[in-house]
Amino acid sequence: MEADLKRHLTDEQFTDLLLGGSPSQVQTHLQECAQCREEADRVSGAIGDFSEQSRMWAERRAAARPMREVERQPAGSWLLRPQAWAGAALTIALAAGIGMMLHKDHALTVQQAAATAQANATKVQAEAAKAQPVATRMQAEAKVTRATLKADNALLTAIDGELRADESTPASLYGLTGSSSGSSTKSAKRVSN
Amino acid sequence: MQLVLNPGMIGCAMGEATLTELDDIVALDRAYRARLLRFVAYSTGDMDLAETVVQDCLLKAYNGRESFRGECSVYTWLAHIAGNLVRDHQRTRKFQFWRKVQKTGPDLSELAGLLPSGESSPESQILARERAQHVSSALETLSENQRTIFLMRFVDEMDLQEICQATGMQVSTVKTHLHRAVKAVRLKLGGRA
Repeated sequence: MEADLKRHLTDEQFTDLLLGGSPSQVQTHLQECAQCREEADRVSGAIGDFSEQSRMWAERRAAARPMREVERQPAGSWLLRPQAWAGAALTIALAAGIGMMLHKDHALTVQQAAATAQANATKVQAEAAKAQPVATRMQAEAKVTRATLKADNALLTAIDGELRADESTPASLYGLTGSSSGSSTKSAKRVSN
Repeated sequence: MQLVLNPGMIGCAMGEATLTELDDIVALDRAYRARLLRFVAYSTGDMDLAETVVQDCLLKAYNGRESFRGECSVYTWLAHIAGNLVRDHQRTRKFQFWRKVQKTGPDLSELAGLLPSGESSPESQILARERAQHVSSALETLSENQRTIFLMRFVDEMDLQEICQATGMQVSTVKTHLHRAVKAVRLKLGGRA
Protein backbone atom coordinates (compact mmCIF):
# COMPACT_ATOMS: atom_id res chain seq x y z
CA MET A 1 0.00 0.00 0.00
CA GLU A 2 2.76 2.45 0.97
CA ALA A 3 4.65 1.53 -2.12
CA ASP A 4 1.58 2.38 -4.21
CA LEU A 5 1.15 5.75 -2.46
CA LYS A 6 4.77 6.61 -3.01
CA ARG A 7 4.32 5.92 -6.63
CA HIS A 8 1.35 8.27 -6.93
CA LEU A 9 1.72 11.92 -7.65
CA THR A 10 2.31 14.21 -4.69
CA ASP A 11 0.06 17.20 -4.02
CA GLU A 12 2.68 19.54 -5.45
CA GLN A 13 3.10 17.41 -8.57
CA PHE A 14 -0.66 17.23 -8.98
CA THR A 15 -1.05 20.99 -8.62
CA ASP A 16 1.82 21.60 -11.02
CA LEU A 17 0.12 19.27 -13.45
CA LEU A 18 -3.07 21.33 -13.23
CA LEU A 19 -1.06 24.49 -13.63
CA GLY A 20 0.37 23.20 -16.86
CA GLY A 21 3.78 22.07 -15.68
CA SER A 22 4.21 18.48 -16.74
CA PRO A 23 7.77 17.17 -16.45
CA SER A 24 8.67 13.93 -18.14
CA GLN A 25 8.55 12.02 -14.82
CA VAL A 26 4.93 13.08 -14.28
CA GLN A 27 3.96 12.22 -17.84
CA THR A 28 5.61 8.83 -17.50
CA HIS A 29 3.77 8.20 -14.25
CA LEU A 30 0.43 9.18 -15.74
CA GLN A 31 0.95 6.72 -18.54
CA GLU A 32 1.66 3.96 -16.04
CA CYS A 33 -0.81 4.86 -13.25
CA ALA A 34 -4.46 4.70 -14.26
CA GLN A 35 -5.59 5.93 -10.86
CA CYS A 36 -3.65 9.18 -11.04
CA ARG A 37 -4.64 9.67 -14.68
CA GLU A 38 -8.30 9.18 -13.85
CA GLU A 39 -8.11 11.57 -10.93
CA ALA A 40 -6.30 14.19 -12.95
CA ASP A 41 -8.94 13.91 -15.66
CA ARG A 42 -11.73 14.19 -13.13
CA VAL A 43 -10.35 17.17 -11.24
CA SER A 44 -9.31 19.17 -14.30
CA GLY A 45 -12.63 18.32 -15.96
CA ALA A 46 -14.58 19.48 -12.93
CA ILE A 47 -12.63 22.71 -12.76
CA GLY A 48 -13.17 23.21 -16.48
CA ASP A 49 -16.91 22.58 -16.09
CA PHE A 50 -17.08 25.00 -13.20
CA SER A 51 -15.17 27.63 -15.12
CA GLU A 52 -17.34 27.27 -18.20
CA GLN A 53 -20.63 27.30 -16.33
CA SER A 54 -19.66 30.19 -14.13
CA ARG A 55 -18.58 32.13 -17.22
CA MET A 56 -21.96 31.52 -18.86
CA TRP A 57 -23.74 32.44 -15.66
CA ALA A 58 -21.79 35.71 -15.31
CA GLU A 59 -22.30 36.68 -18.95
CA ARG A 60 -26.00 36.02 -18.64
CA ARG A 61 -26.18 37.99 -15.44
CA ALA A 62 -24.24 40.91 -16.88
CA ALA A 63 -26.34 40.90 -20.06
CA ALA A 64 -29.56 40.88 -18.04
CA ARG A 65 -28.48 44.00 -16.22
CA PRO A 66 -30.46 46.90 -17.58
CA MET A 67 -28.16 49.36 -19.25
CA ARG A 68 -29.48 52.85 -19.24
CA GLU A 69 -29.11 54.37 -22.65
CA VAL A 70 -27.61 57.76 -23.05
CA GLU A 71 -30.56 60.08 -23.41
CA ARG A 72 -30.34 62.97 -25.79
CA GLN A 73 -31.01 66.20 -24.10
CA PRO A 74 -33.83 68.18 -25.70
CA ALA A 75 -33.21 71.73 -26.78
CA GLY A 76 -33.49 74.13 -23.89
CA SER A 77 -32.93 71.44 -21.32
CA TRP A 78 -30.08 73.46 -19.92
CA LEU A 79 -32.72 75.70 -18.36
CA LEU A 80 -33.52 72.86 -15.99
CA ARG A 81 -29.96 72.39 -14.93
CA PRO A 82 -28.91 74.14 -11.75
CA GLN A 83 -25.33 74.23 -13.03
CA ALA A 84 -26.45 76.38 -15.94
CA TRP A 85 -28.13 78.84 -13.63
CA ALA A 86 -25.16 78.87 -11.33
CA GLY A 87 -22.92 79.54 -14.30
CA ALA A 88 -25.16 82.34 -15.50
CA ALA A 89 -25.23 83.92 -12.04
CA LEU A 90 -21.47 83.68 -11.84
CA THR A 91 -21.12 85.30 -15.24
CA ILE A 92 -23.42 88.15 -14.27
CA ALA A 93 -21.58 88.65 -11.00
CA LEU A 94 -18.26 88.74 -12.83
CA ALA A 95 -19.61 91.17 -15.40
CA ALA A 96 -20.99 93.42 -12.66
CA GLY A 97 -17.73 93.28 -10.78
CA ILE A 98 -15.71 94.11 -13.85
CA GLY A 99 -18.14 96.95 -14.66
CA MET A 100 -17.85 98.38 -11.18
CA MET A 101 -14.09 98.19 -11.37
CA LEU A 102 -14.09 99.92 -14.73
CA HIS A 103 -16.51 102.53 -13.41
CA LYS A 104 -14.31 103.12 -10.42
CA ASP A 105 -11.31 103.53 -12.67
CA HIS A 106 -13.27 105.82 -14.92
CA ALA A 107 -14.35 108.00 -11.95
CA LEU A 108 -10.77 108.21 -10.84
CA THR A 109 -9.78 109.24 -14.33
CA VAL A 110 -12.48 111.87 -14.43
CA GLN A 111 -11.41 113.20 -11.06
CA GLN A 112 -7.84 113.35 -12.23
CA ALA A 113 -8.89 115.11 -15.40
CA ALA A 114 -10.93 117.61 -13.38
CA ALA A 115 -8.00 118.28 -11.09
CA THR A 116 -5.75 118.78 -14.09
CA ALA A 117 -8.27 121.12 -15.71
CA GLN A 118 -8.57 123.07 -12.48
CA ALA A 119 -4.83 123.41 -12.26
CA ASN A 120 -4.74 124.55 -15.84
CA ALA A 121 -7.51 127.06 -15.14
CA THR A 122 -5.58 128.42 -12.18
CA LYS A 123 -2.52 128.74 -14.33
CA VAL A 124 -4.51 130.52 -17.00
CA GLN A 125 -5.95 132.85 -14.39
CA ALA A 126 -2.48 133.63 -13.13
CA GLU A 127 -1.30 134.30 -16.63
CA ALA A 128 -4.39 136.43 -17.21
CA ALA A 129 -3.63 138.34 -14.03
CA LYS A 130 -0.14 138.88 -15.33
CA ALA A 131 -1.49 139.97 -18.67
CA GLN A 132 -4.01 142.45 -17.18
CA PRO A 133 -1.50 145.30 -16.39
CA VAL A 134 -0.15 144.99 -19.88
CA ALA A 135 -3.65 145.43 -21.28
CA THR A 136 -4.24 148.40 -19.02
CA ARG A 137 -1.03 149.96 -20.16
CA MET A 138 -1.86 149.22 -23.76
CA GLN A 139 -5.27 150.79 -23.21
CA ALA A 140 -3.61 153.80 -21.65
CA GLU A 141 -1.27 154.01 -24.56
CA ALA A 142 -4.29 153.71 -26.82
CA LYS A 143 -5.96 156.61 -24.90
CA VAL A 144 -2.85 158.77 -25.27
CA THR A 145 -2.81 158.20 -28.94
CA ARG A 146 -6.42 159.11 -29.31
CA ALA A 147 -5.94 162.29 -27.30
CA THR A 148 -2.99 163.24 -29.41
CA LEU A 149 -4.93 162.58 -32.55
CA LYS A 150 -7.80 164.59 -31.14
CA ALA A 151 -5.51 167.41 -30.32
CA ASP A 152 -3.89 167.24 -33.71
CA ASN A 153 -7.23 167.18 -35.39
CA ALA A 154 -8.33 170.15 -33.32
CA LEU A 155 -5.20 171.99 -34.29
CA LEU A 156 -5.67 171.23 -37.93
CA THR A 157 -9.29 172.31 -37.74
CA ALA A 158 -8.24 175.57 -36.11
CA ILE A 159 -5.65 176.18 -38.79
CA ASP A 160 -8.11 175.41 -41.45
CA GLY A 161 -10.58 177.80 -39.83
CA GLU A 162 -8.03 180.53 -39.76
CA LEU A 163 -7.17 180.01 -43.39
CA ARG A 164 -10.76 180.09 -44.34
CA ALA A 165 -11.22 183.21 -42.32
CA ASP A 166 -8.40 184.95 -44.14
CA GLU A 167 -9.82 184.06 -47.51
CA SER A 168 -13.25 185.51 -46.73
CA THR A 169 -12.26 189.08 -46.13
CA PRO A 170 -14.49 191.74 -47.70
CA ALA A 171 -11.73 192.99 -49.93
CA SER A 172 -11.19 189.60 -51.39
CA LEU A 173 -14.86 189.07 -51.72
CA TYR A 174 -15.11 192.11 -53.87
CA GLY A 175 -11.89 191.55 -55.69
CA LEU A 176 -10.23 194.52 -54.15
CA THR A 177 -7.00 192.90 -53.31
CA GLY A 178 -4.32 192.67 -56.03
CA SER A 179 -3.10 189.20 -55.28
CA SER A 180 -3.74 186.63 -52.72
CA SER A 181 -0.18 185.40 -52.43
CA GLY A 182 0.59 187.80 -49.58
CA SER A 183 -2.06 186.44 -47.34
CA SER A 184 -1.15 182.92 -48.24
CA THR A 185 2.36 183.53 -47.23
CA LYS A 186 1.18 185.01 -43.96
CA SER A 187 -1.06 182.03 -43.28
CA ALA A 188 1.74 179.62 -44.12
CA LYS A 189 3.96 181.40 -41.71
CA ARG A 190 1.37 180.83 -38.95
CA VAL A 191 1.14 177.15 -39.61
CA SER A 192 4.85 176.76 -39.61
CA ASN A 193 4.89 178.62 -36.31
CA MET B 1 -11.87 16.55 -21.82
CA GLN B 2 -9.01 18.89 -21.15
CA LEU B 3 -6.41 17.45 -18.86
CA VAL B 4 -4.16 20.44 -18.45
CA LEU B 5 -4.92 24.13 -18.35
CA ASN B 6 -2.31 25.46 -20.72
CA PRO B 7 -0.61 28.58 -19.38
CA GLY B 8 0.12 29.69 -22.90
CA MET B 9 -3.54 30.38 -23.33
CA ILE B 10 -3.73 32.31 -20.11
CA GLY B 11 -3.58 36.02 -19.73
CA CYS B 12 -3.28 36.83 -23.41
CA ALA B 13 -6.90 36.46 -24.37
CA MET B 14 -8.17 39.45 -22.49
CA GLY B 15 -4.95 40.91 -21.18
CA GLU B 16 -4.02 43.01 -24.18
CA ALA B 17 -5.58 46.33 -23.42
CA THR B 18 -4.72 49.90 -23.91
CA LEU B 19 -5.32 53.05 -21.99
CA THR B 20 -8.11 53.97 -24.38
CA GLU B 21 -10.21 51.24 -22.80
CA LEU B 22 -10.16 53.13 -19.55
CA ASP B 23 -11.30 56.35 -21.18
CA ASP B 24 -14.66 54.87 -22.08
CA ILE B 25 -16.52 53.57 -19.06
CA VAL B 26 -19.21 51.96 -21.21
CA ALA B 27 -16.62 49.97 -23.14
CA LEU B 28 -14.89 49.12 -19.88
CA ASP B 29 -18.15 47.86 -18.45
CA ARG B 30 -18.92 45.73 -21.49
CA ALA B 31 -15.45 44.24 -21.64
CA TYR B 32 -14.92 43.36 -18.00
CA ARG B 33 -18.19 43.36 -16.06
CA ALA B 34 -19.01 39.70 -16.60
CA ARG B 35 -15.52 38.55 -15.78
CA LEU B 36 -15.33 40.68 -12.66
CA LEU B 37 -18.80 39.63 -11.62
CA ARG B 38 -17.84 35.97 -11.76
CA PHE B 39 -14.68 36.53 -9.78
CA VAL B 40 -16.31 38.65 -7.09
CA ALA B 41 -19.48 36.56 -6.85
CA TYR B 42 -17.54 33.37 -6.15
CA SER B 43 -15.09 35.19 -3.92
CA THR B 44 -17.79 36.56 -1.66
CA GLY B 45 -20.61 34.06 -2.20
CA ASP B 46 -22.94 37.05 -2.23
CA MET B 47 -24.58 38.07 -5.47
CA ASP B 48 -25.85 41.43 -4.27
CA LEU B 49 -22.48 42.35 -2.84
CA ALA B 50 -20.83 41.24 -6.06
CA GLU B 51 -22.95 43.63 -8.08
CA THR B 52 -22.07 46.47 -5.73
CA VAL B 53 -18.38 45.66 -5.69
CA VAL B 54 -18.16 45.35 -9.47
CA GLN B 55 -19.94 48.67 -9.91
CA ASP B 56 -17.61 50.35 -7.42
CA CYS B 57 -14.60 48.70 -9.01
CA LEU B 58 -15.39 49.92 -12.51
CA LEU B 59 -16.17 53.41 -11.28
CA LYS B 60 -13.02 53.53 -9.19
CA ALA B 61 -10.93 52.33 -12.12
CA TYR B 62 -12.47 54.90 -14.42
CA ASN B 63 -11.96 57.74 -11.96
CA GLY B 64 -8.42 56.64 -11.23
CA ARG B 65 -7.43 55.73 -14.76
CA GLU B 66 -4.65 58.30 -14.69
CA SER B 67 -2.83 56.19 -12.12
CA PHE B 68 -2.80 53.13 -14.39
CA ARG B 69 0.75 52.89 -15.67
CA GLY B 70 0.26 49.95 -18.01
CA GLU B 71 2.66 47.70 -16.15
CA CYS B 72 0.04 44.97 -16.10
CA SER B 73 -3.09 44.15 -18.01
CA VAL B 74 -6.24 46.13 -17.38
CA TYR B 75 -7.96 43.10 -15.94
CA THR B 76 -5.12 42.47 -13.49
CA TRP B 77 -5.47 46.04 -12.34
CA LEU B 78 -9.24 45.68 -12.05
CA ALA B 79 -8.85 42.42 -10.12
CA HIS B 80 -6.52 44.18 -7.71
CA ILE B 81 -9.11 46.92 -7.12
CA ALA B 82 -11.92 44.38 -6.79
CA GLY B 83 -9.92 42.32 -4.32
CA ASN B 84 -9.34 45.35 -2.13
CA LEU B 85 -13.02 46.25 -2.27
CA VAL B 86 -14.03 42.69 -1.36
CA ARG B 87 -11.71 42.72 1.62
CA ASP B 88 -13.07 46.08 2.74
CA HIS B 89 -16.65 44.79 2.57
CA GLN B 90 -15.89 41.50 4.26
CA ARG B 91 -14.31 43.23 7.21
CA THR B 92 -17.47 45.08 8.03
CA ARG B 93 -19.69 43.64 10.75
CA LYS B 94 -22.71 44.40 8.65
CA PHE B 95 -21.50 42.03 5.94
CA GLN B 96 -20.68 39.29 8.43
CA PHE B 97 -24.14 39.59 10.00
CA TRP B 98 -26.03 39.41 6.73
CA ARG B 99 -23.87 36.56 5.51
CA LYS B 100 -25.08 34.53 8.46
CA VAL B 101 -28.69 35.55 7.91
CA GLN B 102 -28.98 34.88 4.23
CA LYS B 103 -26.89 33.62 1.42
CA THR B 104 -27.43 34.91 -2.09
CA GLY B 105 -24.57 33.24 -3.88
CA PRO B 106 -24.54 32.27 -7.52
CA ASP B 107 -26.77 29.30 -8.28
CA LEU B 108 -25.31 27.11 -10.99
CA SER B 109 -28.47 25.04 -11.16
CA GLU B 110 -30.12 27.82 -13.12
CA LEU B 111 -27.65 27.15 -15.89
CA ALA B 112 -29.11 23.78 -16.80
CA GLY B 113 -30.73 25.22 -19.88
CA LEU B 114 -27.59 27.06 -20.92
CA LEU B 115 -25.34 24.05 -21.27
CA PRO B 116 -24.42 23.32 -24.85
CA SER B 117 -26.93 20.63 -25.73
CA GLY B 118 -25.51 19.79 -29.12
CA GLU B 119 -22.11 18.72 -27.87
CA SER B 120 -23.06 16.21 -25.19
CA SER B 121 -25.87 14.03 -24.02
CA PRO B 122 -28.27 15.07 -21.28
CA GLU B 123 -26.54 12.66 -18.92
CA SER B 124 -23.20 14.28 -19.61
CA GLN B 125 -24.70 17.70 -18.99
CA ILE B 126 -26.08 16.59 -15.65
CA LEU B 127 -22.71 15.11 -14.70
CA ALA B 128 -20.95 18.30 -15.74
CA ARG B 129 -23.30 20.36 -13.62
CA GLU B 130 -22.75 18.10 -10.62
CA ARG B 131 -18.99 18.35 -10.96
CA ALA B 132 -19.26 22.14 -11.15
CA GLN B 133 -21.43 22.09 -8.05
CA HIS B 134 -18.76 20.06 -6.22
CA VAL B 135 -16.13 22.63 -7.11
CA SER B 136 -18.45 25.43 -6.04
CA SER B 137 -19.05 23.67 -2.71
CA ALA B 138 -15.33 23.12 -2.25
CA LEU B 139 -14.69 26.81 -2.76
CA GLU B 140 -16.87 27.61 0.24
CA THR B 141 -14.54 25.64 2.48
CA LEU B 142 -11.45 27.54 1.38
CA SER B 143 -9.94 30.48 3.12
CA GLU B 144 -10.34 33.91 1.55
CA ASN B 145 -6.86 33.95 0.02
CA GLN B 146 -7.07 30.37 -1.20
CA ARG B 147 -10.41 30.98 -2.86
CA THR B 148 -9.27 34.23 -4.46
CA ILE B 149 -6.11 32.73 -5.87
CA PHE B 150 -7.90 29.57 -7.03
CA LEU B 151 -10.46 31.67 -8.88
CA MET B 152 -7.82 33.91 -10.42
CA ARG B 153 -5.82 30.94 -11.67
CA PHE B 154 -8.42 28.45 -12.78
CA VAL B 155 -11.46 30.61 -13.53
CA ASP B 156 -9.98 33.92 -14.66
CA GLU B 157 -7.04 32.09 -16.20
CA MET B 158 -4.45 34.52 -14.89
CA ASP B 159 -0.86 33.36 -14.74
CA LEU B 160 1.14 33.35 -11.54
CA GLN B 161 2.82 36.65 -12.31
CA GLU B 162 -0.51 38.38 -12.80
CA ILE B 163 -1.85 36.88 -9.60
CA CYS B 164 1.18 38.21 -7.76
CA GLN B 165 0.54 41.68 -9.21
CA ALA B 166 -3.14 41.56 -8.36
CA THR B 167 -2.75 40.28 -4.82
CA GLY B 168 0.61 41.73 -3.90
CA MET B 169 1.83 38.31 -2.75
CA GLN B 170 5.07 36.51 -3.48
CA VAL B 171 5.08 33.67 -6.00
CA SER B 172 5.85 31.13 -3.30
CA THR B 173 2.89 32.33 -1.24
CA VAL B 174 0.60 32.14 -4.24
CA LYS B 175 1.78 28.59 -4.98
CA THR B 176 1.20 27.52 -1.39
CA HIS B 177 -2.38 28.82 -1.47
CA LEU B 178 -2.93 27.10 -4.79
CA HIS B 179 -1.64 23.75 -3.49
CA ARG B 180 -3.98 23.90 -0.52
CA ALA B 181 -6.94 24.96 -2.63
CA VAL B 182 -6.38 22.16 -5.15
CA LYS B 183 -6.05 19.67 -2.33
CA ALA B 184 -9.41 20.76 -0.90
CA VAL B 185 -11.08 20.51 -4.29
CA ARG B 186 -9.61 17.07 -4.88
CA LEU B 187 -10.98 15.90 -1.54
CA LYS B 188 -14.39 17.27 -2.42
CA LEU B 189 -14.30 15.47 -5.75
CA GLY B 190 -13.50 12.15 -4.06
CA GLY B 191 -9.77 12.23 -4.50
CA ARG B 192 -7.23 10.62 -2.21
CA ALA B 193 -5.42 13.72 -1.07
